This record gives sequence, structure tokens and C-alpha cells, in this order.
Amino acid sequence: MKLIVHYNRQNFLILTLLFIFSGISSYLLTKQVLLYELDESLESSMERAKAYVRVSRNLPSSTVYDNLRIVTTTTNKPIDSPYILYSGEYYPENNHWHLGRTLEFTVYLQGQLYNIKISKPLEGIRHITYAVVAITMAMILLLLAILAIINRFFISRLWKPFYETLYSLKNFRLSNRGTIEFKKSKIDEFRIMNEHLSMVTSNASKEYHLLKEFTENASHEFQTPLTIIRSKLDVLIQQENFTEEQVELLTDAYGAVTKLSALSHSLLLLTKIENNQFGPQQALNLQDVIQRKVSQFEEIWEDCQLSYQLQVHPATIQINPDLLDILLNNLFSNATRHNQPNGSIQIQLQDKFLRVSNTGIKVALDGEKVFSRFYKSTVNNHNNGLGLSIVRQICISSQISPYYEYAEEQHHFMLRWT
Amino acid sequence: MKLLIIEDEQSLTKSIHSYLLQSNFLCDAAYHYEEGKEKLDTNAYDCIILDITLPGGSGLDLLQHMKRRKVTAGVIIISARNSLDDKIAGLELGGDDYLTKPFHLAELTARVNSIIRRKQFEGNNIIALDKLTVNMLDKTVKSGTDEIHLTKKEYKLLLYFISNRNRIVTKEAIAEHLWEEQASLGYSLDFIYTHIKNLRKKLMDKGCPDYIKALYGMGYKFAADETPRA
Repeated sequence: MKLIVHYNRQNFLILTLLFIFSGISSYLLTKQVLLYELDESLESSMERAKAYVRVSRNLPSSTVYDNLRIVTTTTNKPIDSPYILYSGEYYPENNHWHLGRTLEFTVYLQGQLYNIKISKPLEGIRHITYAVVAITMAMILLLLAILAIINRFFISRLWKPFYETLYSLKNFRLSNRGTIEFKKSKIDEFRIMNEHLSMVTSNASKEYHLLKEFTENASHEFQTPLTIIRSKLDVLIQQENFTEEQVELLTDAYGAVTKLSALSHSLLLLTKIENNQFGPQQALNLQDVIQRKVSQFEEIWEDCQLSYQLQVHPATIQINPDLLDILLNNLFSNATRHNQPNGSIQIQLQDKFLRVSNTGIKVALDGEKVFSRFYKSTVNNHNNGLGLSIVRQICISSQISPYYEYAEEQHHFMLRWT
Repeated sequence: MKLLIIEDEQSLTKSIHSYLLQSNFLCDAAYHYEEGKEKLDTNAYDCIILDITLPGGSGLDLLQHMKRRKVTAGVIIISARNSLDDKIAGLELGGDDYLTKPFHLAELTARVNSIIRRKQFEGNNIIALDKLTVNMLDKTVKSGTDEIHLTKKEYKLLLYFISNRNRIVTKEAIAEHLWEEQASLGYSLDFIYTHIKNLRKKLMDKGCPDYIKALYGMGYKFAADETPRA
């Protein structure tokens, strides 16, 4: 859920509650105030009526019209303190109940006790109350509408720098040399966030490149001692009078040096591909390249007693030529190395699709792990397990998707590109 | 033949020195930039083996220095960096060959031989070895007057053996020479045997003695002596 949606939900819930509460409270308050006013005016009418009785020695004339209604009756029950109550009167003419407030009190006039009721209608109050409530509600509704509009346009504009930062972060790659650019924002929070983010990302990529450099330098530093070991062995074996045991020791040492140099060569190659140190891509005629590569391998396959079938159709691919050479070398030698005596290799090339299939162990390999570094199937352990991860790394840098399948007792390595 | 090895690793220089000495090359050694420069200025060499990363300066600068001084010696660059840019830079500055560490001494010897042949015997592209005559120009091999027809690989193999004659060469070194980086892809090296067997048979069919000796487990040795020039 977006922050703005979440915020709007909370906001509207609270505002709706506020809306209801303020409606009710404005209704009650207005009504209360107006009632109080009415009651006060009833009391002043009472004072005036009492004064009239005292001065004119006459009862106020009864009236049933207008806002004021005075009804005088004789009574023998005095009312000590005047009281106010709700009253209602039915008007049969228009079939309507008129509600009002009535003040009841008693006066003495010439020894006779009179009960006087002064009434005022409530109609006016009701209408004013409704009007006030309606105005209040309308104002709050308007406020809500304005808030919604502000949220929609203003707040989403306010958050724009945040989304822009997110977008820049999404495009951030550790392996890219360039530092990440964040748009400048006038808002402190976003400015601080961007400053921190660019510090963190530039530190991370600096560390990453230092590590890369270290790996590269370390691999390079290996080369000289390896050369020394190899050259010493080269000189040593020129002495001819070795026993069989010594020969075995020497060959083992020699083999290990060869393996180690192949390993560091592969690791350096991987680093170089990852660092995009190869030249630009170009459109290559894959059919020609594959036919040339096959003729290079023909001899090796013959020596390994492998048969091969080649099925090629015209195809082009966007890739650096050196990388393509390494890619094919690795794919073909993988198919050669993991084959069986009298096995076969099939190479099939179509537009935007290459498949190299080989016979070999009769068990499917782990399709997930087969392209990862140092993955070794249990049977064959001579190689360093980097060949197919170099294939994968070249594929990544050249926008090719590699995959593996085992079907009909054949291991299929496939490449697809667009 | 006089060679100069400019390389800061003394023990590597020593190995190269003792290996090349067996091929009758006189070797001089320089262990840092200034020493290399000094030796280049005071002596004449036929071939220079040059490391790029040197204490006190870069081997590439030395190449430039040699170019200015018009030193005619052939130069083999040996570098730990297998980078195409270094290679191109080195060759553009006048290097004749580029060899990436770790290399086989037999490979280095073959390259030194090929450079010296190119530089020294201008117009004379014939190697005479015991009964064998190799014409480098049209790539033909003769035993006496009989021509021996060799495949590309067999011819390459024979030249390699001649460069490293009377020396034990390992299977790994041969494979790397014949198949270059494909050899490091980790196949068994047994198929080299087929090529050696074929070459040996072709030579012996044309009346050559059995030059190629297999040394159990170690590799091969090509035993023949250079025919003295008349």
C-alpha cells in the first residue's frame, strides 16, 4: 500500500468521525443556546406581565396570535416559583402540532389568584438549528473535498523526489563505475536522505572496486611465482637420471602447476568479463564462426573418438568476437570433456537459438547449479568447474539466456537471444 | 647469440638463464629499470626478454627508449597481465612477441629462436639439422633430398622440437604450443601422442634416425645436432 493511500485512509476515517461528531455537537449546542435565549425572553415577558398587572391593575389580555401567547385562568393554587416546560398545541385547521415553551406563574389581582401561561413557539429555533447544522456540515464536507484534492495533487507532488530517488536506486549497480545521481530537493528530509544514500552507494561501489582490484592484483601476483615454479621444474627435468618414483613426483607437481595456472587464468577471465573489459559488441555471423570453431575441434573430437553432427542455419548474434570465441570454446570443450568413449556431440544453430548436446553420464545435472562456479558433477573431477560459469558470465554481459536440459540421454546446453 | 633478460624476479631470471644457456645463448641479466637501460645503452644484444612491471619504471618505457636509440634487437615481452591492451601497447611500441606468465621455458625458447631467425638470417630461412632441412619460407621439410609431407600441426611440432632440441619438453608445454588456450580447457593430453607418433613415423619413413625419444611420464626429447654450416 502506498504511503499516500494509507495516509488518506486514516485521514478520512478520522475526518468522517469528526464530521459526525461536529454535526451532532453543533446541533445540540445551537439548540441549547437558542432555548436558553427563548427561556430568557419568556422570563422577561413574565416580568413585564407582572409589572403590567401591578401598574394597570388589570390582567394582560389573552392573545393566541403572534409569537407570544398568553392564557389567563383563575386558580387557587399558587405557584411559588415560575417554571418552564415544553408544550404542544394541536391546530386542527392545518392538522399540525405546534411545539413551544410555556412559562407558568401566578399573580394576585384584587384578592383573586390568577394563573398566567406565556408560550413561545419553537419553530424558529428548529429552523435556525437546522440551518446552522446544515452550514457546519457543508463547510466540513467542503473541507474534506479540498483536503482530498490537496492530498491527491499536492502531496503526491511533495513525494515526487522520494520516488525519483527510489528510481535512481533501482538502476544502481555495484559493478558500474559511475556514481549514482540523485535529483536535488529543497526539502530537508529528502535532501538528507539523498546525501546519505549517495554517500552509502559511493562507499559501497568504492569498496567493491577495491575488492575487485585486490582480486585482480592477487591473481596477477600469482602468475610470477607460478612461472618460477614452472621454470624451476622445466630446468629440473632436464637432468635425466631420475628414478620412476621421482618422475611421478615431478609429473604430479607439474600437473598441479598447470592446473593452478589454468584456474587463475579462468578467475581473471571471469573478473574481466564482469568488469566489462572486453571491447564493444558487434553483429556477427554465427554460422561462419561455428563452422570455423568446429573445424578447430574436429581433430580433438577425432582423437577422443567422438562423432559429431552439425546442423546450422544462418544466424546473427550481438557479441564481442573475443567473448564469442571463449563462449564457444567453453561450450564445445564442456561437451567434449564430459562425454563418453564413442559418444556424440550435436550442434544445432537456428535463428536466435544455439544448442550443443552431448552424450555422457546418464543422470540429469542440476539445472540450477550447472552454471555456477566450482560446480562439479560427481563423476568428472579433472576440470576446475569454472568453464560453464564463464559461459554464464559472457551470456549475462551479452544479453543471452543460457539453459540446461537433460532429455533422451543427452545433455543439452542451450542459448537464446533476441 | 647474446640475450638480455630484464626481469625483477631473480630466481626466474636464473631459470631462464640456465635453460637458454643449454641452447648456446649467452645471457645477461638486469633486475631493474635503470640497470636495464644502462645495459641496453652499453651492449648490443640479439634478443631482449622484457618484463613490463619493473622496479623503477615500466618495461613499456624501456621499449620507447629502445625505439629512440634505434636498438634493433628483437623483444619478447613477458607479463603477468594477460590483457589485450597491454599486448597491443607492447607490440605497437616495437615488441616482437608477447608471452603471458606463467609460460613454459620451452615456449620461451621457441619464441626466442623464431625471433632471432627472423632478425638475423634475413633471406636465409633454412634450418639444417643432421639429415633434416627445413625451409621456413615455403614450409617444406626434406630428409636429404626427399620431401616429407607434414600436416600443419606436425610442422609446428617439428619446429618446436628443433628449437628445444636435446631438451626434455613436457606434454603440457607441447599441448599449449599446438593448441594455445584450448589446451588449458582441461582435456586429457593423450591425443598429443597421436601427432608425435605420426611425425616420428613420417621422419623415419624418409630415412631419418629416430630423433624423438619418449621419456616415460616426463615428455619427449628431440635429439639431433645442427649441421655445421659449410
